[in-house]
Amino acid sequence: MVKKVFTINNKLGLHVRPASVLANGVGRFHCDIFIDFGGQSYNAKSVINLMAACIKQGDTVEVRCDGSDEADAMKAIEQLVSEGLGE
Amino acid sequence: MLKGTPASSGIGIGKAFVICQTEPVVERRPVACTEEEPARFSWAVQVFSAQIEELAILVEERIGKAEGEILRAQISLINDPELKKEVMQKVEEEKVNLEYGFACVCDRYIDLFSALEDELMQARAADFRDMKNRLLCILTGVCGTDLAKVPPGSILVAEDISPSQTAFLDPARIQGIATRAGAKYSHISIIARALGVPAVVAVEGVLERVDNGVQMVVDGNQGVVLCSPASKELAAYQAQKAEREKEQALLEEYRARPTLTADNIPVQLAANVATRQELKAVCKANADGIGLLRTEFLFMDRSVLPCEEEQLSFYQRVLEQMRGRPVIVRTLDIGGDKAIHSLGPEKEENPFLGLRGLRFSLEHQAHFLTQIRALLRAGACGRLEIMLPVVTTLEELRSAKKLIAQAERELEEQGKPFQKNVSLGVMIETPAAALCAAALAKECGFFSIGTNDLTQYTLAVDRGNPKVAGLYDTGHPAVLRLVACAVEAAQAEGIPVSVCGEAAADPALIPFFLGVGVTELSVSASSVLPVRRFISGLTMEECRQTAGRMLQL
Repeated sequence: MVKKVFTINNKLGLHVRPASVLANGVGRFHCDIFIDFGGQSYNAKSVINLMAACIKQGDTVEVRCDGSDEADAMKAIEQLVSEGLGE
Repeated sequence: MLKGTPASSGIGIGKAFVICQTEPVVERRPVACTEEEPARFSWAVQVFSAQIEELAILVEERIGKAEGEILRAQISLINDPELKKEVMQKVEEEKVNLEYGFACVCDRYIDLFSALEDELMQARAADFRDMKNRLLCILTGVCGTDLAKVPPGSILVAEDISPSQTAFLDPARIQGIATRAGAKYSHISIIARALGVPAVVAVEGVLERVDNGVQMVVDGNQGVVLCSPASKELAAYQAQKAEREKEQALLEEYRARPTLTADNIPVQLAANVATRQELKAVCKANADGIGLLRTEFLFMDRSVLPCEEEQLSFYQRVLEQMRGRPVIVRTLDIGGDKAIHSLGPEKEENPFLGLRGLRFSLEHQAHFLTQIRALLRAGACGRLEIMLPVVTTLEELRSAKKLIAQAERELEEQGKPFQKNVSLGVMIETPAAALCAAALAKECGFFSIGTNDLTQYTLAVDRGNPKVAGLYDTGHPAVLRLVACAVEAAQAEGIPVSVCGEAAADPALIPFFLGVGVTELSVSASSVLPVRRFISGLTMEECRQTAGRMLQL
């Protein structure tokens, strides 16, 4: 399992558009990908889950990837977040 | 009589067609064997996705691309892996039917999203409600209210009309719309205006008071809804509607004509555009181009500003649709009463005297340069002109020109094709600009007089304030003298001058504008034909005399 902490910098937090970019961007990986935030875990492949997490600008979240392609998945997430999740 | 918010003008008379939004009843049934449920869910999701895709295409054709995209978002929601997991968990753990499990999961999200303060998230609750009802209809085989089957001559009455239902609104059969919910800028209002269907929204009690099939009147001008009107009232509305239709028919013959005065002097008659939906109406009205393309709507209601490419593709599409007719684009005019979320809500004590129009652009140069580059590039494929809002000094005009030159250099370096020597105009909407027009005219390509702001700044009147709105009068000699002053300066330099405020469509002021020497009027799309007809009855000599008279104190 690999873990990494990210800060979400999107102006309106993880709302529909960035959540879709993230969920669609990691859907192809086989490993489980969870975002731990506010004491709960959310499935990063689910737009609905990500939106329901109500992550705001400046919040820090921990991403966990667990499975055969976990390293590649984490790399992809780093890339997506550094690109501002499509914004 | 019921009162509401007028959302789309016109009189609609017809029989009530009440859309019951009673959500499909979901029974909780124990199911011994839940093995078949996942396959049933997958099947329903497939049918759902296909239906929405079909609807989205229809909406794109009839209404617009953005509205279609809103609908498509439901496809990614219904295909969400977590949604499926949660539904199946519920079904298996409680050994219940799929319909019940799905409804419970949706309800939880509807509650969750409606409770959030964020307006964008609250809109997701509406998507979930729409999605829940559609999927349940598919599963239970019960069709929801199909608006495609509304009989001709109907007045639609509903709590609200969902985005997926709007695809079926057929203006040929729907005479009017009355909804309990909604506001002037809610989805249904925008669509009703785009389709030209009279509508009144936010009508308290409309669902309780109206029964299916009763005679109704929807007065979209006054925001009034009548059910079973007395024959006298009905006759009055019928007369009003007939009058409007007769007017409309008379106007038809002006559609294909050029705009000429009675003594055959041509007048440029362009249209103002503030939303994507208006573009089609402008083309249909056969206007001589766009005299004012507002760009604020590209920037509003979104979290990220549109990039150069997105702006470019929009401007190019406008130019294509106008087929060679000139399009005057006003650079971003925010501040005043128009704030943009993504640029930060900087509250000002007195926003109309604050950082607005060109002042804002000179303060936020990066945004201005992005817009200018997109405009110059779009200009390579049509007749595009650029207009600067709220100018008060010559220095501001010069600063803007320096930035435009910088944008040109950047495009040159990147080897991207763009329009060189684009025509740059100044909006005359402050007394300062009107009084210094002689200096401005020497350094710009045209003037456009914005009468709304010019009037409020000259008379120190906020027309939105009911206590002083009575003092707001573009026909005040002080305002007219400033207009004359700007026109005179333009004529001295041989540059064209247009009027693009609401006054440009006012029959009381059109003779003045033409008489004083304005070369172009730019009016809302719905005013193009009435103004063309009005001008055809005027002679220039009359106009000049009227103008002279109106300038007297």
